[in-house]
Amino acid sequence: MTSSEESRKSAFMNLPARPFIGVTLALTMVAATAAEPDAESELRALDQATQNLKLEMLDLEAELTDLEQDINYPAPRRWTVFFTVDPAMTDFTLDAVELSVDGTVVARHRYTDQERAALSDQGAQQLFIAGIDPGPHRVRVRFDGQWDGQPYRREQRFTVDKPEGPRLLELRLAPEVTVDNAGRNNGGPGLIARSYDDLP
Amino acid sequence: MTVSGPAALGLCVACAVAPVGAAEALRAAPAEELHGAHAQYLHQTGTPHDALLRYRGTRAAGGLTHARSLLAAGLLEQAHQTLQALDDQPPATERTRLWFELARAWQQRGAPEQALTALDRVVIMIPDDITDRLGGLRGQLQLAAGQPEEAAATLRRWIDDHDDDLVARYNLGVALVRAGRNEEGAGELNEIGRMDADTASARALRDKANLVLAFGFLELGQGATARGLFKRIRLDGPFSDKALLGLGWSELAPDGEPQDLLLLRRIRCLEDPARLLPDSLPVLRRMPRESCGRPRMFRDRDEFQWEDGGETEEERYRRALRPWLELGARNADDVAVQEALMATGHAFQQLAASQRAETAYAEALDRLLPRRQATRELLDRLSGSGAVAEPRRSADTAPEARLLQSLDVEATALPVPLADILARQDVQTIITDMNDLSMNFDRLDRWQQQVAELEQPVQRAVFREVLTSNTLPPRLAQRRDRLRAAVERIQTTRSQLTATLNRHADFLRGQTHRILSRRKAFLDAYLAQIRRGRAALFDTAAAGASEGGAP
Repeated sequence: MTSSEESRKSAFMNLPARPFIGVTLALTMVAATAAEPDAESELRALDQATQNLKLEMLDLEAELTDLEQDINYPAPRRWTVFFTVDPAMTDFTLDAVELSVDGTVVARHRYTDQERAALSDQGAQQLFIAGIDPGPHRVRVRFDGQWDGQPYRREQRFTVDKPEGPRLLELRLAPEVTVDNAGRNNGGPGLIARSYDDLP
Repeated sequence: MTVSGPAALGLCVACAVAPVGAAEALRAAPAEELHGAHAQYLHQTGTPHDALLRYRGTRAAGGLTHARSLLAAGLLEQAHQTLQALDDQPPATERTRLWFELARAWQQRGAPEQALTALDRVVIMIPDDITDRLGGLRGQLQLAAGQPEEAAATLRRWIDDHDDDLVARYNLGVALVRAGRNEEGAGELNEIGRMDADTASARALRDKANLVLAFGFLELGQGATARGLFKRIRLDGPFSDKALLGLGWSELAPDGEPQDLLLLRRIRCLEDPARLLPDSLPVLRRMPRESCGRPRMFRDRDEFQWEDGGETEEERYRRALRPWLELGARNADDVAVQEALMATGHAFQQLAASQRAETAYAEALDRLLPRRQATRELLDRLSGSGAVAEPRRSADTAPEARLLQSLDVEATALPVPLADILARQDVQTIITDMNDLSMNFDRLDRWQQQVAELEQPVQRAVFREVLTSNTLPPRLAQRRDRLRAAVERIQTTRSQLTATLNRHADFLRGQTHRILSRRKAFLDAYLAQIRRGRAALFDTAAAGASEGGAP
């Protein structure tokens, strides 16, 4: 062994007994550090407890919603109005809707881009829910927006006969078929009203 | 009638005034469809929780949108079950995307095995944006799941076609070393360590690859190889503290022997026929690369750069001091700086610079003792503190705030950088869960209020019935009982929520305790070394004095 090699070796041997941070660095992948085995089982248990609690919260809220509906809008009088948009309604941008029942405005809504997108994706907006007496009711709907880039406003009236039992009214925005004298379809956006039995 | 421009406004209002009449069309049972569409609307416009509530009892329950809501609400097992039941139903692209997102969600929750199970379902109609991430993610998950051989194979195949996926190449290096194929792994990491990097994340990855290699060789006593690798790391990057510390130690380590590296690449052509054609030939007329035969493996064997150490022990200590002195001027919350403070005194002592050694040791004590004291105090506090009655509902749900709230300390009282604790995946998972869960307190408050409002009309009705008929109709009795049960359930759920959040906070305290204990063990060792060094200095000085003072 040369003197140079000896001196190198002695330098290394003289190092203090040191904690060495490099050990924890070696071979770490690109991801956050994972839990140690003893903490891992606790983490799993906590994850399970979290999931169970979320499910319990959902279940509890479902029960409360059902209860609220049962008390505030009992099934015999319950009447829910949904607003939907036909997939063919591509050239109309909906801005706002106003719903009147028997001469009283009961719902007004101005739409965000997100809500318009949800309606275009075949979502249904619950516009109104109430308990109403069985019998005929006057419904008036005003809506406005942009049709082919131009302002467009329309008001439509319907008569809805509400029987005993929970009912749904779907107000569907769709292109109206209107043929002019030349045989061309000039129909603008219009509403179709449909009534259905609701779930009990 | 043509409707256009502002004139249309008047026209249409006029025509709408005309009675439209009853446009009712009675249809049976599309109610489920409408309620399902309502859930879908809420999924897009409200919270996943609102949507999930509406899916119940509808035809949309168990559908893809429902699965998406479950995923968004963090109910991963339920999302998995729902998707599994939909496995043979279209649209396959949307389903595949959801499986991929589920895999990512499991990964973020630190469950690589479940993530791999979900990823196994990503097989058909894979959207392009997912195709571009698939192999890298699978390899990363296999590595996290303790399957380095499988990870190496996956990542190798992936990199053949995605050479620009730097993270995947880094992970391939790690996988190969973990699988015992050190030369190959070193070759891959070395490639990352030498690459041109034009983004902050790429530069950080390059530093990390060099750091991992350097410490690996230092551990093996290969100082000459480690030195060159440490010197590649930037002085202003996130790994510079560790690099400076390691460089100092590597100056003292034996040089070792030249270290081999092996780089494997699959190449499609050994000679691209297109290159043999004259440049004047239009590009489109040239032969495509694929036509030049089967892909072959290219093996490049090389050696790491050799950096000679100092010729003498004194020279080696002098060289080690340069990075350590630079490091010692930095924030001593970092364990690398703490170690450098200790090592500096030791190096001066070895160089027989007693006065400078004493000064360095004294400075190290000044800076390390308060940190050990703060660490001790916080450890005692974390050991003694029990669960709080109800976790605070901070509006500030930033991870830092949530962690400090759980530890019940101010940021200034924490003797380790917050980022060191927050970088842990388990800590991130727990904090995300805590944020999700603590929002439920507001929900429970609202429900309690709602139940109180619902009780009033029911109580009035009960009172009226009892007064008039002295009997309670079954429906009314049922409502009253359901309300009572709801009140109890809200209270029980609130208790469960508090207990679960306290368990989460306990976990954060436990993990912080572990980190602090490790830090304290380091500090104890550094301080013990400093004391031994100082004692040796005094002994030497005393011996010198007695020799000098002897007659």
